Amino acid sequence: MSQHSVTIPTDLSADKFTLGSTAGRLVGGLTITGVLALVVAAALGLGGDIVSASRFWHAYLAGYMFIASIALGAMIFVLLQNVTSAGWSVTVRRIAELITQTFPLLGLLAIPLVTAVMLGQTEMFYWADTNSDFVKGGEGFEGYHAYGLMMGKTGYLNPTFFLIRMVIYFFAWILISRWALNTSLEQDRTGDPKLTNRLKKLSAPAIPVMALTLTFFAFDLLMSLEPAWFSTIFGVYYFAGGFGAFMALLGILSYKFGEEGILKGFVRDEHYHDIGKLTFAFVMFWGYIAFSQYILIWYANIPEETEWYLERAHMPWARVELLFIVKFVLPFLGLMSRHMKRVPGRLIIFGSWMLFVHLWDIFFLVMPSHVTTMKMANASEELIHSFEVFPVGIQELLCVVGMIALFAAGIARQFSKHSLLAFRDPRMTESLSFHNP
Amino acid sequence: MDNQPETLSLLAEYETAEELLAAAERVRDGGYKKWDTHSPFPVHGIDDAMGIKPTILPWIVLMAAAAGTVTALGLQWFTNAYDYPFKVSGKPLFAWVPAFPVTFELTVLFAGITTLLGMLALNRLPRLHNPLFDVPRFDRATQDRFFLSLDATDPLYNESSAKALLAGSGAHAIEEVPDLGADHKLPTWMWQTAVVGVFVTFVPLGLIVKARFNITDKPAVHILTDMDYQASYRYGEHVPLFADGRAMRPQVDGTVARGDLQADDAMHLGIDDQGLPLATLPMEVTPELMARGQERYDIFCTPCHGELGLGDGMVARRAAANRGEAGMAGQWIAPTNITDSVIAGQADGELYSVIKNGIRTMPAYGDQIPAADRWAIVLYMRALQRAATSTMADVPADQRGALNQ
Amino acid sequence: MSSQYDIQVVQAEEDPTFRPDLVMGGSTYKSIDDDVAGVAEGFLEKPSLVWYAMFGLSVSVLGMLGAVVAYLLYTGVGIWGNQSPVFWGWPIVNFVFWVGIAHAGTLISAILFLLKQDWRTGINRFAEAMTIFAVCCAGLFPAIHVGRVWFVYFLFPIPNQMDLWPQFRSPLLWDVFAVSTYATVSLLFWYMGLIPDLATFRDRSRTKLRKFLYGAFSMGWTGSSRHWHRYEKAYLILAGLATPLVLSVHTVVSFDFAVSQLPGWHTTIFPPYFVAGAIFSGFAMVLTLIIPVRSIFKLEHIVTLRHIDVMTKIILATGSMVGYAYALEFFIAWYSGNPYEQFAFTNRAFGPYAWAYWIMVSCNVISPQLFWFKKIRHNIAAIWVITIFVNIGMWFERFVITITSLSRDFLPGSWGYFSPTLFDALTLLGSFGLFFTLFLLFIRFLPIIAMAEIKMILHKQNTTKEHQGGHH
Repeated sequence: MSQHSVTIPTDLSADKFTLGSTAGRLVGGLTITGVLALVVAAALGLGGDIVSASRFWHAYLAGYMFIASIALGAMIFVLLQNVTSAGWSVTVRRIAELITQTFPLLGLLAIPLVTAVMLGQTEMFYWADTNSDFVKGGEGFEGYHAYGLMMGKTGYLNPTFFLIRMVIYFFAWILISRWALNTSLEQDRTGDPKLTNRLKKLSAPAIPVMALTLTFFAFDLLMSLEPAWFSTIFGVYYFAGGFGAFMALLGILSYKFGEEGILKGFVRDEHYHDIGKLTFAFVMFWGYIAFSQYILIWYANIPEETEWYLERAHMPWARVELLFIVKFVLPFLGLMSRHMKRVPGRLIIFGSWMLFVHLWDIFFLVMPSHVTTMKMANASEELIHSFEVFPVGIQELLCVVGMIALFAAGIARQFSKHSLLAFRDPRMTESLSFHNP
Repeated sequence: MDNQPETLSLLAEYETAEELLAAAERVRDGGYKKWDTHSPFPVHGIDDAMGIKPTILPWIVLMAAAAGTVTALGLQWFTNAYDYPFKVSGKPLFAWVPAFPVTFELTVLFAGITTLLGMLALNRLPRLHNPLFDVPRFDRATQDRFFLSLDATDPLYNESSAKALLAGSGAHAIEEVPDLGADHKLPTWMWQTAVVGVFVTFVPLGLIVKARFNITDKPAVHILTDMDYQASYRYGEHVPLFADGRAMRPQVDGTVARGDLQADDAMHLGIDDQGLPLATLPMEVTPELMARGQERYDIFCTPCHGELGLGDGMVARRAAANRGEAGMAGQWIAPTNITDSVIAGQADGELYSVIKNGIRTMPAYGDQIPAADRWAIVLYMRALQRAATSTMADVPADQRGALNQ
Repeated sequence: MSSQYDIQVVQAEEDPTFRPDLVMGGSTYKSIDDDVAGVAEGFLEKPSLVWYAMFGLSVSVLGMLGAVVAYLLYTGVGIWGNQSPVFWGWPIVNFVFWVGIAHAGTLISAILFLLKQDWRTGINRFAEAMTIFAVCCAGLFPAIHVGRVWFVYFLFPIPNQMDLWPQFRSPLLWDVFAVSTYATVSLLFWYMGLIPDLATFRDRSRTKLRKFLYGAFSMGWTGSSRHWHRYEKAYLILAGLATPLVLSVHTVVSFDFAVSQLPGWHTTIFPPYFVAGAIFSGFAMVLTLIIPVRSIFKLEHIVTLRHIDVMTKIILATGSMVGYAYALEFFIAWYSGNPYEQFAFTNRAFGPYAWAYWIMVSCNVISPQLFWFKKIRHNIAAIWVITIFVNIGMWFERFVITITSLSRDFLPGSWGYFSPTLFDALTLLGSFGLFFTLFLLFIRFLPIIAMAEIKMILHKQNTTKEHQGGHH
């Protein structure tokens, strides 16, 4: 990797790279769309019986965990780039930093979920009512919960502790993301290279904090959907998917701003190549983690573990093999060649595909729990069967669209307020001149 | 033959990579095709400066990888699901999940080996004799100097213009690479040893193949005896440990093994106080006993005596057919028809005794059939005898219809 | 800080635009050759008593290994402590230990190459060599622990006298393929990297024998750019292959444990946890070896404090990952409500092997955390001590995993305490003899640093400096 001479323009300022009203106009529209979609979905769902309520909650959770994983991926990306003194990513790092500012929004969107749990609603989280038959091993659940299995977990899976943990997660994430962005913004103003050192120094301990909070967040909101099931690698699984999806999004956004937009000249083929490489790496990493989890559970064949996969095997779209093909095999083959990674158009196609299959993955994690709820509520065979075959209906569309719209609104708002480029980062030269062999 | 060795190529030496790059561009632009540059490390930008086209190595590796995948899957399917299928802990004979690790490894292995060998082959290496090595200065090509060599066989080559081109490119030295006519062949002893060596490696394989497909009456060779020769005693072996030398010990005099005490003569010998055969069974006759008798008779007696006791069991029929074929018809003595009047007239105890002790060519079944079962069989024999002499009038009215088939 | 070259590292810490030189001391291509080839050539000029003494020691230990293995083959596995219920004793612990160490080499060569980390060039040759030797030591143990070693060909899918094929649905067999593939590909990768440097040795050789041998093994390499083009492509491909390979090998090793149903073994995080642990122990071993070597052979300007600093950070990161995995295992053991799983973990911490457990935790979780502190990261002696503790800790981790779960499995009636025998210890010690013998031979006869790659980054470093107008 060699460096060619490059000159950084001297007339850089924040307003040159802020989208301002271009983005600002979008914020309103996206927010209204998002809120409306979610409210309509809630009305449709909560106005009906337990099955439709469950359907709403699961759709809400799926859309929520999809956008949350991307924000978390962005956060870890920022911390990693800071801690490794990376030079290549400087011109795209601000985009990631801005995406991490959506944590307050995510915290707000978590409120309905937390409220439902605090109120003891059990359509989604069966442990939310610690006095229920489910938890106590009462009528109908005797065999399922022999040995007081669920009772043993109520020390962790209870509404109060759940609330406390959620508060801790968002407190930590907002603190870290705010600090990282503000330090970087301060550097925009002062150009002080020592700020980079500070970012590096403090990003390091932030990473274990993110690792633990992300893990338990995934446990609380995804793994506990099936409270008898457990997997030590689950947190890593959620992280791998989210980081990969974030890289895909970064590729798309870099392209949008780099080709003809506000970052033209600052985002080059080399950046697409490196983003493509990281996306490729995380395609493989996700595949590796997903396969590890699957083969171990498949091989030992212990019913309390296989149950989770068997539930999914009933549904044609949720079969593990299919998920591997769409989320691993196809992107792997597609992103393997160097050529693919350097042509930005290709990166958009694969980036979009990656986001789509990540949503598929989240559905894979969440939706079978709705089937379980339907079965527990003695819903009709056709209803269960039609959902098993195709889990996308009005509720899902509204919730996913709503969540994405609100997430986009949050990001657009950040893009309108702050510069998209950390234009006084001391490693700007390196980022503008590095070259992939 | 000239005194002066022919010039194979011109060699120009440079001190820095940048000089080499500039020179390479000149040569490339000059239209030369048969030339090369040499450097101690790959110089960034030399590919473009020389107009080197991308190598096809990645495609070769891709094909090798695909071959690895197919081989691995085929191997696992063939060995575990087709040629010698056996179930292990309930796993399917072939499933992609457990097949994946080996498939992955073989794909990487094939690809890796092909990468190195492909690279060497495409580079035409090893090439241990190279005229360039005859130029002493060229030693620095792998150390700290950069060289450009222009082949004399290039169509545009002309000694003076080539020298001028190189001189103009800033070369620090220009040498001619002579054709010293050195023997390019490997020393005779080397390839002779190699050939012999290759043959020698086939010897063990040959021996194995020979051993695999031949029969020998010699005992197997035991290099590491392991547990092949054990000190434990075998059946019928003479052993010095006991006075009578027997490895299998008889029962100690005056003892009876637990469960072996057969005190009840009626039950076990089928005789009464006077030693005469019992007329009836020494136990209660129940439908369960009859069913048991039928089951045991079907197992032990039907091969010879047949299902109806007529002496036409499978063994009997086959033996008769064999004798017939061998031209010895009539020399087979058929098993007794147990329904005939002589047998029917014997006492239960006598039938019992025959089962236990055998008679004529019938072996004793006492060791195979416990006492109670023997009585059950006797009971069933009585049923067969009754059946043989019965008429339609003996069949219950409501079941007569079923018999007319 | 021990050397004049370390000043740049401090400067880099303070000035983020400053990237310390990777090759220092005003090096030139010639000086690099002299410094590195000088190591092997120096042995020719002046016999090194230190080398002979160490070689004599390691060869004796290797000889002892040979004797122990011969005794093992003749008598049987009973000479070790393997006993019901702990049928996997030290041999498997040693196997996983050595395989783990091997992984750092491939990571440095392949993964850091893909991540464009040029600093790897100071240590990659060394680390790859360590990989090969560690894989040799690793491969020894499964081969000899099978009992009837003369039937070890049963493991391979060749037609045999029993008309039986291997059982491909078993992770023990996946191991055979994984470790064989890893040994082969690592060897090929290492050898390919050696070709240009062996050519340099050939061209500097002063004896005919050396010229012949180095010449033969360097394949007649001339440094042709056309050849370099294919060479670089091949290097990139091998790096791209080796990366998933190294992850897969220790993953397959973890499958040996995790596919079972034993509490303490069957947990889905094993694959990435084992891989992180392997990198952790591997880097520690690289440092343990390279710290003395760089000082004895005066290579501090090529293997600089920056290299060491980054390696300690990697040790910190992977050590933290291992700690994360420990914590998660504990949590999920409780969360699962599975009494056997819960017992397995409380037993580890408080049962008969608690002593091993706490050695493991203090060496693996606590000691690498010391690397948060820059003072320790720049103190060579402290680093050396910590890396030795890390390796001790990682051996104990494999010990704790293997032995505690086996000694206390589902049925209390079959519980038993495992004790090693003298021969367990001698075999482990002997494997170090094998490792160090190969290693000393490597130092003596082969280029211990990738000269061609170092020259390449020296060139890049010089070009960058020119472009930045003599920035530093």
